[in-house]
Amino acid sequence: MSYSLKYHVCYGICKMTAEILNFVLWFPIVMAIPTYLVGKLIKTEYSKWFAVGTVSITTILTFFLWIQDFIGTSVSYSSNGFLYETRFDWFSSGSLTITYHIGVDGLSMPLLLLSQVVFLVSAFSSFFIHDQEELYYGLYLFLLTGLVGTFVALDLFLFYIFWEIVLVPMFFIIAIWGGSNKYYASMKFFIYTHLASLVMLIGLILMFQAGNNTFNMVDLKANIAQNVAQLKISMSTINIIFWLVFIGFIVKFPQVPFHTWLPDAHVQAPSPGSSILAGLLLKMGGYGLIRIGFWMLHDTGYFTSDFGINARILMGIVAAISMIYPAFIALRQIDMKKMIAYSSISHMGIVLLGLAAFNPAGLNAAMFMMVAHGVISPGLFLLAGIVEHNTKSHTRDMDRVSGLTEKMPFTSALFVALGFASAGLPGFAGFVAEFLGFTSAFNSPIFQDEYIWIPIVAVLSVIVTAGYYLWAMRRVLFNKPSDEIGNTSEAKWWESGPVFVLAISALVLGLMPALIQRVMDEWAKLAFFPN
Amino acid sequence: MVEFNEVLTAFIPAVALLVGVIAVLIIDLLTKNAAQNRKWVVSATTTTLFASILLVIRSGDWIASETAIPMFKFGLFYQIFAVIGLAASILVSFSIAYDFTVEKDLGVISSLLLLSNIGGVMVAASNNLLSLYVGFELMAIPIYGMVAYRKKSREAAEASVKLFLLGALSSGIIVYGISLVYGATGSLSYGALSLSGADNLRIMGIFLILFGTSFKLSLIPFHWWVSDVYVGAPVSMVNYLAVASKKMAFTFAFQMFMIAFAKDTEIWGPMAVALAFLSMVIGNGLAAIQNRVMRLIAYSSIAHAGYIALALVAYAQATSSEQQALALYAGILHMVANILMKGSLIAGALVVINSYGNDHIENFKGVLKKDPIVGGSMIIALLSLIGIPPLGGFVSKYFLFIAVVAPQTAYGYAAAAGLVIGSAISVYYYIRFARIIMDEPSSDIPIKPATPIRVLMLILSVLTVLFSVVAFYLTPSEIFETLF
Repeated sequence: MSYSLKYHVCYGICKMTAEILNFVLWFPIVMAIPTYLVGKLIKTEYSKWFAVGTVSITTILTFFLWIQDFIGTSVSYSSNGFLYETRFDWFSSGSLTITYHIGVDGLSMPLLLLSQVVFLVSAFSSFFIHDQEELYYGLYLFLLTGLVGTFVALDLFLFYIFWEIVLVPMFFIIAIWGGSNKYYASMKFFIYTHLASLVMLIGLILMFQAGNNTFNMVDLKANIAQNVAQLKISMSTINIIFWLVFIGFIVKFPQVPFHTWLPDAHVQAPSPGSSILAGLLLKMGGYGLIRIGFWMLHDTGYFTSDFGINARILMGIVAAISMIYPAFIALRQIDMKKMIAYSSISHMGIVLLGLAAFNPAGLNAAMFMMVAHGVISPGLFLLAGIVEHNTKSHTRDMDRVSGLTEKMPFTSALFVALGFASAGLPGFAGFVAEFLGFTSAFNSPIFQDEYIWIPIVAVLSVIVTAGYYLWAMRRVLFNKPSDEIGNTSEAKWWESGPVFVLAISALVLGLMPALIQRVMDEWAKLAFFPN
Repeated sequence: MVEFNEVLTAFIPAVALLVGVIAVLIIDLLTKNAAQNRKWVVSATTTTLFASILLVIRSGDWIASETAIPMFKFGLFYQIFAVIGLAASILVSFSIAYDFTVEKDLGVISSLLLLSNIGGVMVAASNNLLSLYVGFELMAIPIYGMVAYRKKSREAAEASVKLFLLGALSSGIIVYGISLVYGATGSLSYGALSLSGADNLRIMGIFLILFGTSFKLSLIPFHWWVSDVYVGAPVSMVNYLAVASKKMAFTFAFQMFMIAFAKDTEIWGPMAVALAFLSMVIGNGLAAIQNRVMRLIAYSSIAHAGYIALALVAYAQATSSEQQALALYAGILHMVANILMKGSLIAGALVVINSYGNDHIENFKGVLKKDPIVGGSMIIALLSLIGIPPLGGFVSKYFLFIAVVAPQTAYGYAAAAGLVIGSAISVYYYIRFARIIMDEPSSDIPIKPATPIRVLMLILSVLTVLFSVVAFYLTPSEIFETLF
């Protein structure tokens, strides 16, 4: 299949993969201005179709890239370990080199695909927005370039630029189209994540100095490893770098105790905004930690040194606390979105737990959880949005909405499917990741003896998760219909369609995890466990 | 003996400014109608400034030798800093037109602006402490008149007197320092200063000059005049103080410390670290608690003076000529970025203050809704001031950071820590301000910016966005080789 596509069907286009990746990266931001102007000057409605068209094109192209190289049994990377690379010097003088270098590998490609899908479905779910529509879709495309850039940048400087670009449109989306407390939430979001970025920036600059004054990730990785091997840099320097970038990424994750911005931001953002926040912005933290924290420092032997083992144990403790504590908070939430937000924190704990375990299964769990959570939680947020838009007083309070099955059977079915998927029912994507994560934690040599409580606590959190989802379903779906949904009918196609796509994705990924897990597994073994 | 022709060629931008001064005064006499006066005077001022920018750039090819005229040097350093000062004054000239709506004629204030710019050009061209000081005073003295130009306003008069007293005091300190240095070395030319050794008299002189300069640069703890003056002065004059004359004062400081006292870095270096650190941390901290926009801008410009002073810090710590080049380059970048973002922010503030009559931060609610260009430009300026990539403020702050960290000294790291702490504090008040601009309008008082101001703000925003592209295509070491 792969062979025939490559050599018989698409001739020259298949060779232009690097150009296609560049196009996927820059096309949205280029289209942002026409999208804004067409809505402003000609007809407001056009801007939403411009946005949908743009994201559709990039989604199709991303799927094309995926089918071409990533769907087979193994991916043949270049000598750098990447595909579709573009590289040239952007700024170069004796004391610093900045390159424009982008490319994808088994870690970033699934997330790239995920970001396209989540953006496409969120574009449809944004149709309820009528206030300053053109500005919304302009910012929306702006955000897409920032996110894709974060996943494909292979230069720390470029990475940081894209990382920070993401903040700005998200800040506006929360602050302009958000709920009643939007100003507080947007400022908290911005301040938390920007301060974390500054901490991370110090780490990146120390990395830059440790790796012979270049920002290119591939070069840096080799240079740092070489400098450590030649004893030019001590392991304690690497330790400092790791902790700085770790703090930078953990806030985006977010894990206890840096998690408090997330419930506010999620609850106040419009539901497509929350779905992008949950589906993709959290993944930026996970991706950054794996790429910069783990991938770049792995060659120095840091993670098997004493410093590294201590760091991993601490990560395990943070992960276990972040899984159990937000789960209990979610249990007592009345606001549906707040419950899903806390469940997101709890699920992202698996990513950290898998990384702390640091074995093939653990890395697979971390990467797979990001994709699984990336299709499930946007779906749940969009469902919360549907409930909000169709109730009489536009509420999401679970004690005021009940009996949804009678009025909106299809939406209710989706709610059941995604709720179970999030709770980790076998057959859905969440289960695969959780299962991999728990096995990896129990197998890891560091979580034995006095630290055995870490995986045990993590597993126990699943019970609480199942508890709050089941309780939520009982309250919202199955009681007597309340006044709030008095004259509600089934959701519109552009409301429930996106959720349906995400639910199907969760099911397909749960039944055939190999679809994406194979490249992840291959990448993890290639990058971390070559033997 | 220097030929008259040579002097004229070298000073042609200053001559153009002088012609502009006279022309503006004549135009002022000829036009009777206030609207006509405004139109013609501002066009003439702007044209003069543009012309002298072109002449600064072009005259480099016309002069035979950079150092043919005693006390002056017309090299790349002169060109860069003269253009920065003149270009910043163009913004001021626009905001003057919009700010002084009650006054019937703008001839006097515009001619003072041009006069002050002659001083700026002289500061950039100096190669001797005497011409440097004279140029600096020529730049500073018209400002006292300009700040007090709104005759009926008590606040403006108070601001002008404060500015005058502290300006005179600091000038006195600088002159006293220069005289001590002269006593110690027997010369005022940069070349001779760099040859002679250090003794106590000279060290004392350098300290006095540093303290006097810190007054001019509004570095903490010499900053007390700033907030009062910014609140009392007309907004367009704040624009001049914060955007243009601050840059000329930095040119003065760079001339003084990077060139004249380049050898004495161990004397002024540690002190510069303390000044920059305090300015960045305390300046941002004080800005965070302000509820009046002009005070916020005042403290934020103190903090930004601290950032630019990092160029001096980095220069003092540098161990190779490449690091020195990076330090100066970073300083220049932040000066330019600061002009773009501060200029845009103050222009926006001017529009709102003119409509509401005071600068309370609540008045800025809903500016984005009322006028997307003004509001959007202000938000871009604020994001750039925070240092969000890829906007101008990020690029220049980033270069400053690299420049202070590169020599790997304890002072350098302390300064870098100050930069990060200061930036972290600044996120809060800039983003709060941006949030207020995006808020729903609290009143329906319309804001009515003139088209030139909107165009100006749009241009500044576009430049802020494009800044990074330009910054990365220039190479610091090449510029540096031709500078000194």
